[in-house]
Amino acid sequence: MKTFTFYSYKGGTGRSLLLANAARYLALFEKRVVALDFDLEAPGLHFKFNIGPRGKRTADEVPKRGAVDYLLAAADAGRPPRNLRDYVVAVPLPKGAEGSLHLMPAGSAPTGKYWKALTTLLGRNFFNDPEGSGLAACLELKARIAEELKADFLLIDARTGVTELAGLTTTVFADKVVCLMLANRESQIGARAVLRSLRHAARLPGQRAIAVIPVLSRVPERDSFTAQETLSFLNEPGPTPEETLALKRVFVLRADPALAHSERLYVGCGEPEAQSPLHQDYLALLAQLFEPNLIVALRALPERDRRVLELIYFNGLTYNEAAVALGISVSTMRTLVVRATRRLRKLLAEEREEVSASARMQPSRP
Amino acid sequence: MNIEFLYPLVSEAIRRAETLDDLRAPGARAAYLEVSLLEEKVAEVLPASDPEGALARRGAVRAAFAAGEFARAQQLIERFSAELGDDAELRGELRGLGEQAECAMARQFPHVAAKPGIPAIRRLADTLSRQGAPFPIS
Repeated sequence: MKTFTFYSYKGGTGRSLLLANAARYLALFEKRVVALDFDLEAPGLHFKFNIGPRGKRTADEVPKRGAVDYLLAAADAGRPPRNLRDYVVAVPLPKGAEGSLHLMPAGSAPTGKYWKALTTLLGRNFFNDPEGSGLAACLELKARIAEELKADFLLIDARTGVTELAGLTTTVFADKVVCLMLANRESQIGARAVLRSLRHAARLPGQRAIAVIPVLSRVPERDSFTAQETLSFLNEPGPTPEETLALKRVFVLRADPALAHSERLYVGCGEPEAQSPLHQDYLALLAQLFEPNLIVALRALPERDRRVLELIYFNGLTYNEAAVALGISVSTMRTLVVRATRRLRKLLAEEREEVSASARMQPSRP
Repeated sequence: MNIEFLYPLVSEAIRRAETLDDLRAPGARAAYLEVSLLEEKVAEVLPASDPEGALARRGAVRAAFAAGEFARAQQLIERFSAELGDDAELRGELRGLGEQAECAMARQFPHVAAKPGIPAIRRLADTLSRQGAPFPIS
C-alpha cells in the first residue's frame, strides 16, 4: 500500500478537494483506495465525497463514527476495535468504475459528541505520547487498512499548520507528501519551512526518504513565471545544505470560479462544464503522481480510443451518454471501450517492461 | 540525601501517583515520574543486596513504565543490572518488567509488533517527544 499525505501550511488551498479527486481518479483505474480524514480539528472530507453528480449533495447526514472514535476506543479498551469496517464508509463511484473507494471520516463532526471525543483524545496527549501507544495505535490502523481493506492506496487529509498530527501524517505515515500552497509569501514561507524539515524528519527503520510534490493552487491563469518564481523560492539555500530543497518542478492548479459557490468533484463527474482548466490540471497532476506513464500511453493511442477512454474514465459518462456524445450506438461504444482499454493496458505493460529491462541493464555496483 | 529524609517523600509520592491514577487524572504520569526519580535516589543510597535497595530498584523501573518513560525505564534496567554482579534473581526480575511492558503493547498492536516491532516504535516515540515540536524545523 502506498500512502500519500495531502498537506498545506495554510488553509484554503483546495487540499481536501484535490484528495477527493485523486481518490476517485485511482478508483476509476481499478485501484482500491482508502481516504482518511485526519484533519481532526476541521474535518470535511465527507462533504467532498457527498457531492453528487449535479453539484448537489447526495447526503447531508454526518458520519456515524470515524477515526477519532476508533482511536479513542483503542485508548480506552487498551486494544483497537475488533471491526475496522464499522468506522469506514463505502463511497459510491461512477458506473463502470472497477476499483473501490472507502472513506474513514474523522467522526460525527460537527456534533458536540465529536468535539468531546476529540478533546478527550487530545487531552491524553495521544499523538505525542512518549510511551508510543498513540503512535502504535495510528500505525496499527494504517496496517489494518492495508490488510483488511486490501487498499492499494491510502490518501490522508492532514491538518494544516504545525500540529502533532500534521507532523505524524507527513513524516511517519507518508511515502509521498503532496504539499499545496498559494501564490503568496505567507503560504510559501510556512510550506518551505515544513518541507525542509521533512528532509531530516525521524522515521522508522527501513522507511525511504519522503518524496515531496509541491502544488501551487488557485492560480488565476497558467503562468509559468509564477510557477518558476515559486520553485526558485522553495529551492533557495536552507539553514544547512541538508535542508536545502532540490525540487524539480511545481505543479499548478488553476483557480476555478465555479467552485467558489459550491465545491464539487470534477474527476469522473460526467458534466460537460467539468472540462474546465482546473479539471485538466487535476488530470495532469494525478497522472504524474500515480501513473507517470499513463499520459504518455494515452497520447500514443489513436485519437478515437483516447476520446472514448476520457469520456468514460475521466468524465464519468455512462456508456449511453458517451455513445450519444460520439454519435454511435451503445453496443459499438462498449466494443470501443474494451478495445481501447486493452490497447492502453498493452502500452502500459510495454512501458513497464522497457523500464524494467533498462533497470536490469544498469551495471551492478562493485 | 539520607534515607530518613527520602522515605517519607517516596511514600507520599507513591500515594499521590496511585490516587491520581485511580482518578485517571492528567497529572498521574508526572507523579509516577516523581516516584521513579525518588526511588532511584533511594537506590543510590542503599545497595541492591539490601532488601530495601532491591525494592527501590524495582520501584524506580515500575514507576518509569507507569510514567510512560520507556527509554528511562530501559536505561534504569541496564544500569541496575550492570551493578548487580551475581544477583541473577533481581536482574531477571528487572528484565521481566521490561518484557512485560513489551508484551502488553505487542498484544494491543499485533501488526505493529510484527513490523516494525515495539522497540522501534518506542524509540521513535521517544525521539518525537524529545524533538519538542511536531516538525524538526530549524
